[in-house]
Amino acid sequence: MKKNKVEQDFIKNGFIISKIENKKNFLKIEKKIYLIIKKFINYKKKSTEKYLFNNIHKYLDNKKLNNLRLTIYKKLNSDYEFYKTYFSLAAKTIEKLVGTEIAAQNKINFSIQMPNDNSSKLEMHADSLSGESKFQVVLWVPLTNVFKTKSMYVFDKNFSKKTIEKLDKYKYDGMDKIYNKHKNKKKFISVKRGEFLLFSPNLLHGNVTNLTNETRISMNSRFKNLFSTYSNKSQFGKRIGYFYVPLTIKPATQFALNFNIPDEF
Amino acid sequence: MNSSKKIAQGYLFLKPFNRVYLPTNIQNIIIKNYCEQNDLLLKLSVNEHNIKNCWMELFSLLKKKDTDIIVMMSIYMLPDNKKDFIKFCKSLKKNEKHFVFVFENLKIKNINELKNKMNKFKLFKELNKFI
Repeated sequence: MKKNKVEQDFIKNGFIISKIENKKNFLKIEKKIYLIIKKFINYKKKSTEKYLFNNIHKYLDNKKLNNLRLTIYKKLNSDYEFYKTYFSLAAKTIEKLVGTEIAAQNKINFSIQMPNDNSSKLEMHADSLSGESKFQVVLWVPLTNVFKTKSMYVFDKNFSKKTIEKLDKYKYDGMDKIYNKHKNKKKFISVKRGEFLLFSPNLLHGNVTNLTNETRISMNSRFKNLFSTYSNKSQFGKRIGYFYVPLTIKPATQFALNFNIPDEF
Repeated sequence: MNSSKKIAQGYLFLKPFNRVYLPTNIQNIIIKNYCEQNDLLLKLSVNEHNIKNCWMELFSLLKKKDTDIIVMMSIYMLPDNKKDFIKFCKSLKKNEKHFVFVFENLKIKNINELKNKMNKFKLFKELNKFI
């Protein structure tokens, strides 16, 4: 992408798709997840990561799905600095979008969407409505090619903006009513393995039952400018130390933090 | 999947309830634990919007045909003003759902039971201001 194309596209659409920037780290994460899954399902055959990820549903009972997800989550996040490895997958682009002093979500989430599984549906929402900073970006990285219902959907910037601004109209109907009325406007995002999606938490998005015959595994986490506002209504949940951790602090900031300038005498 | 299990959905609240604030990941763990202990099939929990006097996600949950029980931390997460509570009761009447309030250790099976408990716990809340 040309210089500034990333910025322009993000401002226009609220999301961008681009190639993984640190292939070595991507492959390292992929391998680790592959080995965790193999062990969990007791899979002895030789196969590629691509095959196993797309076909987990053939070897895993639906009832054990959440346990597998949690096992992957715990094992990868047991490395306290895993968020740094994850950040490296899209570091340059994130810096272009949010700045070079960055706060990162302290844990990376995992989703597994097996075909026809209704229990993992995440219905239409915007993260910024749920106490997360509207200034963050969400880094979403699939480990398989994703398309149609195997992927997630987004509603465009204008629709999301108008809907959020007039949310009170639907106070007693709920989000379902908005979704059902406008579901034809949603767009499933196609992302290839080896690419990432960065999107604004202000876009309405979600997923539906995966009607393809392949499983999707994806990771997601959030990054924001260290100094953009955090959720102004949440005192604990989505702030530094609870949800975010400083990823980069520049020397001027580090130096300044030693000084307490009095407000009044 | 064991079809005899009842389907529960967790409801997470980002705002303080009765002067308690609990991060949503902790609410999730408690709900998951409750469902495991009570042999309920838990669907992904939903976060209520972080907007004052907003129960949009709760109103959505009431209408869900594939959910039997709504599990949340506290009865104090329900609409606490008259207008919204009446709307909530009307919707609940149309869409029968059971409720579990973990902190108060309450299982509610119908609207009258809910109204009774709501009155009782409103009184407790008032009393707690003075003691």
